Amino acid sequence: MILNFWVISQILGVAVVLLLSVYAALQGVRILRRWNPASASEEQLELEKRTYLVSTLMQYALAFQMLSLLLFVATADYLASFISGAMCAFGSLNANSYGFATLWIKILTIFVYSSWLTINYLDSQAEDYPLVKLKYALLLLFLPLLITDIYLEIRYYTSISPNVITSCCGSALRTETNPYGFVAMNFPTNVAMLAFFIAYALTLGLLYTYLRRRQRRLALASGLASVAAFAVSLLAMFTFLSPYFNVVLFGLPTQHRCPFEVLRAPTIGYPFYALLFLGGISGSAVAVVEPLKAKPSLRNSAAKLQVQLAKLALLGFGGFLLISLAFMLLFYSMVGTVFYH
Amino acid sequence: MIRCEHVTKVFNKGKANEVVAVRDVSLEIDAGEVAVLRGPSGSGKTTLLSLIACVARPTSGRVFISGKEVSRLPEKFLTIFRREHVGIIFQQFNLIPELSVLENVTVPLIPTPTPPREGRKRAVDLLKKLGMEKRSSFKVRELSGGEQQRVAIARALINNPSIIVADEPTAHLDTKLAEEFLRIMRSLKEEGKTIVIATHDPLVYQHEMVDVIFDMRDGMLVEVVR
Amino acid sequence: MSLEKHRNILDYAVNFLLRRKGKNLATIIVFTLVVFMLASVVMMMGSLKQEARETLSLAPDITVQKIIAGRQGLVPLEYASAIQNIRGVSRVEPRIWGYYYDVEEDATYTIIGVKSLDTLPVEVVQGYLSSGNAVLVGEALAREKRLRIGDKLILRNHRGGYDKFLVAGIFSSRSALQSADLIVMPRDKAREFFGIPEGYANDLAVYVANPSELPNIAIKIANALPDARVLTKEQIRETYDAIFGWRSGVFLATILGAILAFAILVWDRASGLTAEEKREIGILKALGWSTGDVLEMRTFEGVVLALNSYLAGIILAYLHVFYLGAPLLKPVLIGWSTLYPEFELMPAVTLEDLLLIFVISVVPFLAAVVVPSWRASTIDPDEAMRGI
Repeated sequence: MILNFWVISQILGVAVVLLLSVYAALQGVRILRRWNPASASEEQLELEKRTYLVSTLMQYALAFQMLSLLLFVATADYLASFISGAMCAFGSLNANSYGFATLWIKILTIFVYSSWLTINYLDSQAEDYPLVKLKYALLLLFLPLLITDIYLEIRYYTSISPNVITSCCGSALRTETNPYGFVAMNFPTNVAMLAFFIAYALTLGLLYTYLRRRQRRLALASGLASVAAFAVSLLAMFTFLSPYFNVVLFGLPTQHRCPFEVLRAPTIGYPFYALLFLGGISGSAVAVVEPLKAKPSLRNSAAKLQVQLAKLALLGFGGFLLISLAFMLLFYSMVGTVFYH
Repeated sequence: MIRCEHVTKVFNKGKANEVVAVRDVSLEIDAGEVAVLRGPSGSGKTTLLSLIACVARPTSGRVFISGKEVSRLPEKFLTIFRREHVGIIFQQFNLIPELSVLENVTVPLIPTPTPPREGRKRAVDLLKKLGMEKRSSFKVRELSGGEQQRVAIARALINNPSIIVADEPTAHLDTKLAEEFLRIMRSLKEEGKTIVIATHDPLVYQHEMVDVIFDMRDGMLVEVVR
Repeated sequence: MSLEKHRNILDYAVNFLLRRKGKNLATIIVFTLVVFMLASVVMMMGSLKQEARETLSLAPDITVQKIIAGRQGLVPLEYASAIQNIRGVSRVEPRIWGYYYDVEEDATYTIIGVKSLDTLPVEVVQGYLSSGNAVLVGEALAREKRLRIGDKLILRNHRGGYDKFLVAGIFSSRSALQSADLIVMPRDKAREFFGIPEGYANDLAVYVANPSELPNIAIKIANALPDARVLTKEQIRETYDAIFGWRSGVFLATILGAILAFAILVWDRASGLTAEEKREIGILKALGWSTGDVLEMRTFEGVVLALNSYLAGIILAYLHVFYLGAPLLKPVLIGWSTLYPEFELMPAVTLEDLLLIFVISVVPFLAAVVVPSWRASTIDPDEAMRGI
């Protein structure tokens, strides 16, 4: 059990997100039950006003959840000095089975919330609000996700025992002393590298072709490819990609495969990950928006939005890839090869 | 241009203090006309005016403006529609006292993508047209009643609306200023704007520019004078 | 999706705020104070943690003391050879050190004996080192006693006589806590000065080759030497953690109270819309602002207010902690402040610290004002029409 200022603040932050979401969901239920677009009653007007409240609550919830993700990693980094064997956020998260689980679920909520806000944005563009029922029903589905998030997080902090030695990025590497991290660390580096470049070629190619042809199949494929590219990028950061940064920026040994280390150079690390999230979120949203085009009042605004999203996704993934390649090049100029393993 | 079909507006529906402000009104106003809603206070003319001005939605019945049904638009789109098509001159002018004349005139442009510089230019042009350019940096509380109304008119015109709506515009003005107001309305009519005025001032409804008068009593339309 | 629109609304929100300076001043002051308090604690803790981390990194893996009648006594050097024989121990070092009370300055210094002075990471004047009575002193101590390299330092030894030392170097270590009041001299000199008999040391520093064997070795030492107290680095770390944990717990209570007071203030501010403000919002709505536009303006108001207070609070806290030495917090937060009267906090603010402060101040504030802001934005436009 670890209880300090950082942990309490982190839990406070998640609690705020949960509170906002629960409140939004309650408003959503009210809107779901009484919504009647044919009516001009004062009640309908009141409900219309409530839709603004829900939108704002959800925007806040997303923004705060993003901060919460950042703070979660920062807290893990802070805790590293209290946990035996942990040298950075990786070691802290690896201290029990809840650490990485919380991280993944946080990332998932960010995707889910951004998708919801995309749907919400589209809905508010059409005079008949065609997606009202869908979007408020979805809101209810999010609550279990958030409750899981806060549950895992509390379990994570309460289960940490400063005396049990955890294994960190350097030592945990490809050894059996990596109980919770996950298989990524044991993933063959060459395969990861191959997967990374294939995923990027595929995703960037699909997004580009989509922008030129605007076909339904391409939109759906781009979305799927974006999710894959996002996941593979994370895998890459746990396997072959992070050492380029860690060696170039900090002169660490190549065995040091910590994906969080790059955040210690905040001006590189944060924009780097921000680009990845931009790519993943807008890329997957291209596919999320596609089925909504079935509503006649949305067709035009949805198509316009998809183009913008696809461009943003290209920017995000393209930027992430470029920075990665730049560091591989820098690494090459220092070490003489990019295949260090 | 403006068409109301069996429009009814009820406040506090289903409650003890229920009020039927407008009852089953149907009317039509053509483009470029000056129409007057005439009736004593409490006759429902302000409420009807607010329905025509897209400030509120009717409880039942339909309102069409330029062929578009606005009575079923969600609040957001009703607002956007109002912003683009209707200029409102309020009875009490409804200016924001701490702001300057110029700032007051540009307030309706704020939630639009108009760059501030362009907004200011449009405001200055309008104020010039109304003979108020020398007052543009004054705070509105430093102005006389007639001047305040001219600011309110400039503000109503800033989005270049096709419909001007005025509620008891001469109530706070002496005869000379009232005539000045009517002169301005006249010139707007000549520009092709449709004007709807709610009033019980003979100076207004007897004016030669008025094309049609709707007599209101107890929320109902009792007579149409063309 | 035009940025221009949002910029216009932001401008108006700032204008709206500035026109109500008096009303918002109270909120800004309270908000700034809350951020100031939180930020002071976080910055102070960050700085102390940095100190602790450096202290720990220098600490031996295991410290062995001898306990006589429940009190710490001198450790016979035979213990060192006993420990050296335990498998896994890489090195055992007897340490001679102690406290020295300076009557003149009314201060306590720490004297440490080391094997050799020239292996320390301090710039020294070589000529002085060979004089036989050279010492190295901490920066704070040097300042207090106005010592420079080459000056003489006179200390009263255990027999009541005065020993003369020559200052050969001054620690300018980044970590003030570590070295501020330190006097370092050769081990034999220190032994002589304190009168510690040959064959004994104050304690033993034990170094272990493989950190994962550390707990086992500690147990073995404890078993082999029943009258020894065995402290591992982990235990020292836990002590630090407990200190931070307990202290921050005290603060959390105060802070939660403050946040509560703050939320009430916020609620008061946000729900108590003046008639004049209501009128203005009604006018805006009638003039073509949608509920969303007004809500956005109210949101910007909150954000502008919060960010300004946040920045002001951060800057004030930085000045308070790192320039003034945290006079408001020091007595509460640092238990050992009497021992280290002079140390300065190293400026150590990370992006993560700022994020932490943001999450516990700005986030709850913004969350608390969502609903009141929304309520204010739902005023019906026909109210302006009806002249309410």
